[in-house]
Amino acid sequence: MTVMHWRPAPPRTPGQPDQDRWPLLDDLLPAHDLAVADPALQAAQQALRALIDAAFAP
Amino acid sequence: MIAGRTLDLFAPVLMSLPQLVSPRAIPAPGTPLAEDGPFLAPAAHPDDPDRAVLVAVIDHAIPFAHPLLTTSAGLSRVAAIWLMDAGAQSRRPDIAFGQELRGPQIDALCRPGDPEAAYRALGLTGPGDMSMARHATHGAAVAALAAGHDPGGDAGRAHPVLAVSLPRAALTETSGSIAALFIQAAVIFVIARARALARQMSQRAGRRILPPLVVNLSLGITAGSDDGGALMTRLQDAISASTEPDLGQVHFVLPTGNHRQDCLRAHLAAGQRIGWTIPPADPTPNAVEIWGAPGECLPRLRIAAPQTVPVAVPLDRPGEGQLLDANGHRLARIVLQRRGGASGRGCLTVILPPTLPVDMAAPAAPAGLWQLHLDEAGPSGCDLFVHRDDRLSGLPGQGRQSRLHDPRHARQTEDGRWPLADDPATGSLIRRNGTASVYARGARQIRVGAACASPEGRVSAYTGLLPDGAPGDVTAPADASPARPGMLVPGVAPASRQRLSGTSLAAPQVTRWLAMALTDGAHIPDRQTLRAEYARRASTLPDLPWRDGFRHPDAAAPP
Repeated sequence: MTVMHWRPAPPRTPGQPDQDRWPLLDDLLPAHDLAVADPALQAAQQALRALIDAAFAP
Repeated sequence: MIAGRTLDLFAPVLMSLPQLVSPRAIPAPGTPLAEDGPFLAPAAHPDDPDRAVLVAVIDHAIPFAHPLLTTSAGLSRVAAIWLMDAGAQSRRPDIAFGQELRGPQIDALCRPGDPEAAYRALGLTGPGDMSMARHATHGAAVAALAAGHDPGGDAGRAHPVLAVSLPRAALTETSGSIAALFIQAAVIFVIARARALARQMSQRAGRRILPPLVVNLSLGITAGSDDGGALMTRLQDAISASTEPDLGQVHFVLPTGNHRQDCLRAHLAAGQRIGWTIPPADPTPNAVEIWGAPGECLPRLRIAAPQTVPVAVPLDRPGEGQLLDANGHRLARIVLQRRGGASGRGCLTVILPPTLPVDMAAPAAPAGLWQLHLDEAGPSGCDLFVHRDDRLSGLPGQGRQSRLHDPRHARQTEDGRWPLADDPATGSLIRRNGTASVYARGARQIRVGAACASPEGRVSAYTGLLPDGAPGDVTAPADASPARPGMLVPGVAPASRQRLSGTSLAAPQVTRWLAMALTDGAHIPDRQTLRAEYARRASTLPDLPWRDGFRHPDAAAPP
């Protein structure tokens, strides 16, 4: 029988950890710096928000 | 608000977009803007708009040029399809990636005698994307069952089709975690285009037309909030409950899933423990979620890997950490949350890295029997949900399913039959009740289980059960018999057929039934009415045109 050790992780976003996030995503996706979005991704985000408007506030 | 929250919570998925959709699907600078043209050719609009019922299909590799989705004149009944993985040949302000096609654009891409022409024109049959080069796909079966009508007749004209073909990479991920953002976007797209199509129909008719919409989503997952609190169920419930000035009632039809016998669900009281079997040679992570009841204390866990001393997870408030072996290698990551606010439910997620990672330098978990000891929990105990390690039929994937293990739980009876319900006398902690897909836990969705055609109505042994033990609100046949699973359904090419089984095939038959019942004037405002109406009309499940053959519009007229 061997022994395992616990290593706590630092808080994800100090002060305001998002309790509703989906933890498995961290293991499935590569890490990204969310503050540095590339223009194509910003465009994708804008388009998705436009789609939400088209669906719920046309 | 729910839709916007989805974008926020799944921002990491959006940031990974270049890895999750085909590189061609992200519009390059200078991609021309698409014209906002009509949804359908004039002759493809419903004859009687007051009886029209829109049908939406959200799936993968949907053969949008299939003759089952055309009128007798060969015009497309597909009013709009969002091909999330296709190259962006034109751009719309509200399409983030991939390509949207409208009916007249599909008509322009089709060539008589060349059923692949439209797919080839979009690069869906060659290197980089072979999705429509295969003879059989999940989307082909589901779309045909939900919305396919004999192209020799015009019954289908009452049912304009909206569709979303989800990206392959999101569906080959075996837990279903990545697909959530794409599915939410697909639901939003379907609502946006349904409302716009209804406005076009009203304009043509010169009066207000409010067609109902039936949305089929033949996808599911096994872990997550099972109380209807998941964003996906909340969005669908909110849409179904709302009244829009330009669209009739919206119904969502979902399967209950195929995991009743897979030992993915258990209930533990404080002080109890259960085994968790982790398979060897698994290239994907394995995960289990341990959920407490609303407002009760957070669960406390001790966990033991094979051949290790149990270690208590020292989390008494939301946070996370890792379990390491003596050499400092990661064996597990554990996250404690209280989901749904201060009075929400405690959720402890244990995530193990693959037992055979593709990158040999990456962390690896030992295969074998792990032990989960629930040291503390609220008076209601905790529900355990193992994430599925599965994929759609026809898609590649090497995940191997982990399972809960309780020696008192027999997967099959001594004579080899599948037990259909929980037997409290065994004392097993593993549950069959409550194994229905977590996507299908809303208050308004229509949940569909699979049954056998013969003996008629016998529930298929794999059908997921709701918490009360019901195999859904209704069932539909997806298996010929217990000894002959599956049913014959169309493939991608007009003449191809495939044999598939599962609740994924039961749901679209109810979608089809509901659309036709609404066209016939039935008033079905909620699922209670649907159950009664379905029981009353059960012997009139709509016939499927490919069973007796159907005439391809290109075929020469008989002498």
